[in-house]
Parts: sequence; C-alpha cells; structure tokens
Amino acid sequence: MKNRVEQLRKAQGLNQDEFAKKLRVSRQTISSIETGKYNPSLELAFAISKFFGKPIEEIFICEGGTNYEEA
Amino acid sequence: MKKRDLITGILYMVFGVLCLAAALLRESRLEGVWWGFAGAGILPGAGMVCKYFYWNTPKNKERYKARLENEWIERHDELKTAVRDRAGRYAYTFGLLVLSFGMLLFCVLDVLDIMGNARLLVLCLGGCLLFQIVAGIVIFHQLMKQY
Repeated sequence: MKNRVEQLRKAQGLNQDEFAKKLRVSRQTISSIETGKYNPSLELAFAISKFFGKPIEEIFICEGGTNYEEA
Repeated sequence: MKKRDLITGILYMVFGVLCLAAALLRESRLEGVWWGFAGAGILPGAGMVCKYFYWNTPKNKERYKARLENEWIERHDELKTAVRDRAGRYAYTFGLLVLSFGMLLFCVLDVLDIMGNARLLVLCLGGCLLFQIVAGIVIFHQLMKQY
C-alpha cells in the first residue's frame, strides 16, 4: 500500500527514529511502512493519521488488489 | 527498578545458597543437580541485586527510563511481534520435520544394528512429535474461542 508517511514526516522535520519514538514503535516499523513493505494495523494507521492531523485516506492510498469481491 | 526486583534477586540467592549447602553437606547421587541449582540461583540473583543498586542511583535514573521505554517498544512493536510469530511458526514446522527425520534415522540405525536400544529413543521422539501436533491443535482451538 502506497502512502505519504515519509513526505509528511519530512515536512515536520523529523527523522525516522524521532517519529518512531513519538508513536512508540520501532524505527524498522516506520521504515517498512514508508517503503511499502509493511501495512500498519488499523490502530497504528489511526495513530499516524492523528499525529499528522489528516484523514487516513489522505495518508494511505489503497490501490486495488483486495482479497474480496467488490459490491 | 522496583523493590520487588531486589526481593526476587535476594530470594534467588537464598535458594541458590540452600542448594549449595545441600550439595556440600549431603552426599547423594543428585549432587550434580544441587550444584546446578546453586549456580542457577546464586549467579542470576547476584546479577539482579547488582542491577537494582546500579539502576537506582540518581545519575542512572534517566538512562533507565529510556531503557525501559526502548524495551517496551521492542516487546510491543507490531512489526516485530508479527515477525516473531512467523519465526515461531517456522521453528514449529522445522521442529516437526527434525523429529520425524530423527525417528526415521534411529529406526534405520536400529534395524541395521549400528545403534542398539534405539527403540526407546524412537518412542520418545514419537511422543514429542505427537505432543507438539496435539498441543498445536488444542492451543489453536482455545485461542479461536476468543473470537
């Protein structure tokens, strides 16, 4: 899943380590989210959204590839 | 660090000293076990007591807070938890394969008279294999009940 986490993080002048500490996760988690290797849990996604003050849909971009049939 | 950690360390040391006394004062076939327990009690206990006094000095308090926070993050980080779970699954599967292969190997060695009395070993390995499979299924169903 593509996302704008890196862009928003840099706009706030934070490095990955500082950003990870603010969210109480590891730096590897932030790095994996930013490179698209790992999709955060709903809880973490909401925490990131709250941190940046933006809705989740503006930060995480879901581009198809779902396991279910669309209505 | 909490006083509870100091008390735990002291209790470990007391237990270790009691086992040491049992090893030194009594002659028995279990002497090796007593020595083992003595070491397992005294050394970690002493470590816990030393850690308690080291981390409770005023100059180390902030460092200890940061260390606790890092430990909390390492334990609860979702990516690391997911990777640890996956590693556990791989280790479980690999363990089953090793047990199965071990049983086959010792069976063959016994039949070819290369190794005597392997039957008990094969039965033990088979018991471990069966236990792991059954435990895996039972624990899975227990955990699913939450949902």
